[in-house]
Amino acid sequence: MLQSYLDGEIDARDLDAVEQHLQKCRDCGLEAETYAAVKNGLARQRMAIAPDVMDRLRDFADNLVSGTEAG
Amino acid sequence: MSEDALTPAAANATPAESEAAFKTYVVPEIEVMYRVARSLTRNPTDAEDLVQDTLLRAYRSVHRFDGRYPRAWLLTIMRNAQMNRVRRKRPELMRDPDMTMRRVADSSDDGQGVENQVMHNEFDASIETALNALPEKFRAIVQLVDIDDLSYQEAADVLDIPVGTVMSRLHRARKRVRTDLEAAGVTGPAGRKSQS
Repeated sequence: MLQSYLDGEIDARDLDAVEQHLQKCRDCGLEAETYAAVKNGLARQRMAIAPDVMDRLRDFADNLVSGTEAG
Repeated sequence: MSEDALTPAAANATPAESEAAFKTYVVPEIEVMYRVARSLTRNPTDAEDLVQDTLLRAYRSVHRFDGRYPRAWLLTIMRNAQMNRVRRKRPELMRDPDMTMRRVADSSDDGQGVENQVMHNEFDASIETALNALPEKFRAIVQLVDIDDLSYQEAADVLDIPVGTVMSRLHRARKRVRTDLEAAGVTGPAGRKSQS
């Protein structure tokens, strides 16, 4: 539940319950911090995309729309 | 933004509506599509080909798209496009869809050839090591959800597995990463983080 909470993937009712619990429970609060650090560290692994790749793909999409590409 | 003007009607959309829908719903997703395609293919060239294939298919069927959950719609198209590509080139892999994902991902040289924006400190280096040590099924989920920023449902659609499976694999994978970090000394057990 804690990980789903950190991912923003729980419903409103559970969200309230988790937040209330985290205010009272030190162990869970520290656990949440640790998982948040892991998530953020993983997010920093995100790959940089070469600009020419994105340019080519956007050009391809534009050509589809304008009818240049056989569609 | 007027959703009505852009959402195709219940019957097929006009060409003008389709083009507007493509520009509104598909084009903004190109970057995410490429990131996911990198996870699904062996190299950047194959990934680009897969995105182009997906864009073409999306363009041809956007007149039927109802405007809801464009990313999920596109990633489903991409998954099917990739399955078709594999079926044509390596039919023996199609007997076990899980094997397809594993083999395709294993032979990717993503870990070595990819440029990273990784900050060079001990924590991030340890994360990278822990990530590469994960079994493929777990690594793929972490890649899609934590690195490529897909939702649980979007990852489930790409991998064609239930959302519950995504959740359990993801949580177990992160636990393993966290355990590895503790073993490496870059984070303490709950409550004690070392300075890095």
